[in-house]
Amino acid sequence: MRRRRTARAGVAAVVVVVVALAGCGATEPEPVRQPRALEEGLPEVDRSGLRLPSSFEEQRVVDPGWETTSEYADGVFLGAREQNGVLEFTAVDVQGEVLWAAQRPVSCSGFTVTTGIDGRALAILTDTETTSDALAGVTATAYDLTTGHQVWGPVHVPGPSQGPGAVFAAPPDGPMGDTGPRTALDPATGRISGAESDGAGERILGEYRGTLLVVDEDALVARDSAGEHDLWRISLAEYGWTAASLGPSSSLSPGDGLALIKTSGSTQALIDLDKGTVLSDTALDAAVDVASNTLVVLDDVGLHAYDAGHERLWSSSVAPETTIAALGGVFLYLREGGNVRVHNVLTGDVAQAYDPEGRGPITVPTQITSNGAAMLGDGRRHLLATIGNAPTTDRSSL
Amino acid sequence: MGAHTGRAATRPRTVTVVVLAVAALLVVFALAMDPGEVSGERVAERAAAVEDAPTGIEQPAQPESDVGSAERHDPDDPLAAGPVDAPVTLVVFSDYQCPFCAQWSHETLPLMMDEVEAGSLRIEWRDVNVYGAASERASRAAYAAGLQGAFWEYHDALYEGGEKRSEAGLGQDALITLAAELGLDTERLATDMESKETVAQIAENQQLGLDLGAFSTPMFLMGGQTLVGAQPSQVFLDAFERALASVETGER
Repeated sequence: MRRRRTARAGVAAVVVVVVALAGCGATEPEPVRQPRALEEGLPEVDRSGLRLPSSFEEQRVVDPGWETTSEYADGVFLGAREQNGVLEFTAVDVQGEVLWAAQRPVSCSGFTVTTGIDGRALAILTDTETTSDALAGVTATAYDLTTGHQVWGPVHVPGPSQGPGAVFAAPPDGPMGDTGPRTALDPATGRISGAESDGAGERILGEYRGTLLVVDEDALVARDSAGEHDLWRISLAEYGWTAASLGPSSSLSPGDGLALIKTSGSTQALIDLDKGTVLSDTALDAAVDVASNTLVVLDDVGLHAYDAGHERLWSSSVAPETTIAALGGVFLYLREGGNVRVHNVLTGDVAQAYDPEGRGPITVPTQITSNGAAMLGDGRRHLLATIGNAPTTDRSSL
Repeated sequence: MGAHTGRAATRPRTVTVVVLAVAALLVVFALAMDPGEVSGERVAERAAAVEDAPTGIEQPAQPESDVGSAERHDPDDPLAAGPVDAPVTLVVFSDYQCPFCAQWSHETLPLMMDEVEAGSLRIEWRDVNVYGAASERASRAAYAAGLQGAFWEYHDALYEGGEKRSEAGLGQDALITLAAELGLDTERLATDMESKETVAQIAENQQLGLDLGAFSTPMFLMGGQTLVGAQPSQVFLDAFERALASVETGER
């Protein structure tokens, strides 16, 4: 079996990484925790210095300054960077306007974006409570992703956000250690919807915008956001899985209503969360083009595109190192070795998505939204290709 | 497989200390977060999320056609508006299931039509039907409406309110019903939809778009410039002004 790389690794938890070196409870500047408006807009990027995909050549590009990959919902991206010794999270809409900003200590902070029961997009930020010389605990607080208004919290959690979704655990003791038992929160209320115990029992795979996935000794189980009612069960034996073989995926979400879970060291399964069906048990990565409602699955054989009825549109063999960079606007961006290649996702044809005469660092989308905005990577920055006019709104009401 | 451009991107030589620090931390984090499943490969991927960049682009074969050949200036073209000798021609490559095409038709097309009315612009509509059979069927229906002199009315109705129709809304019966609502001869439209001429013309238009790289819709050609996507209307107004100016100064 050829080994392929899984890609688009979710790095929302990158912030958590700082824990490993800094250690929770270290002395830090006092952050401004409550969301607030920023007076400064985002700097516009000179497009002439970038080799942008043609689809984004005319869009205004701004630099949010994020050092993490962002998460997105309902027209708003959330990302973070370290600034003056604290982590600053910013919520930026698809027009490039900073809607709000909030700070957290560098240590033991993390974030995730999920959906409350009313469909409202939420940003969940973790925080630390410290005494003069010790870490007293970690809390999570949910904010309306668009307005920055607090929805619930702070509530105590065992540690920073681990994901996917509203899942938290104590950080590992060392670089090679395990995280502690995982706890999931109901994104609608902040109450605990599931908690692992040391040793035996259910394990929490992730919280997927209101759906909790756990694995017990013989089934993959979906529960409602409160963790009270089973939505469906998939027998592990049916797919040759074991409880120990299943784990949370580090891949980015393939799209609303879908989840990737790890089924071995090199494979993942693509789950339809609504129907409780396994769309692929060999997937390495997957993505959905909202514009054409096309699903693309990368597995050990190659690439496969499916229409809304899960009828296969095309399949294509690709090199073992091929990864999915982004999918949107009918374009599938692939990374293959040191190159980028773009396919029309409906036909499978290689598309001319970049001006052949273009110059500058090749800029590749990493996330394309349904309304045409995109996060782009130029090798050193996470840039936002905006839509619509430049922001002019006064957000001083926060 | 497409040809490589042969031009490597300039790899950034300056990476901020912070980014490097985060990349290093990512390595530590990856080792810590995937117990039992972490390989060196996966560690590299996490770091690459911050730093990696491609050095080449795999492009499709270059099209034989050039941009200028896309303009037909055919006085009998049922998919066109404006004088055949208008100083500027806008060729639109579109798809009736493309939401951005619907948005552009609703927001920007009326502004372009003002220039058509003024005699300064000719618009030639070409469907590339990248979204499949329903798009192609709608394209044939719109062409057939055009044979009755009602292409633009039918086109606007297909994108009513700036929204694309559902796939069911582009079914044969729905398309005929729409024609009836517009007062068209539905029997003739149904016949024209299936005629060899219509099928051939739609296929020719589609191939023209694909030859010019219109794999994604909408795509526009105006004054030798390619525009991709439903950009703000001002982008098109500016492109029109530039194209008009270049004609008036003799550059085109």
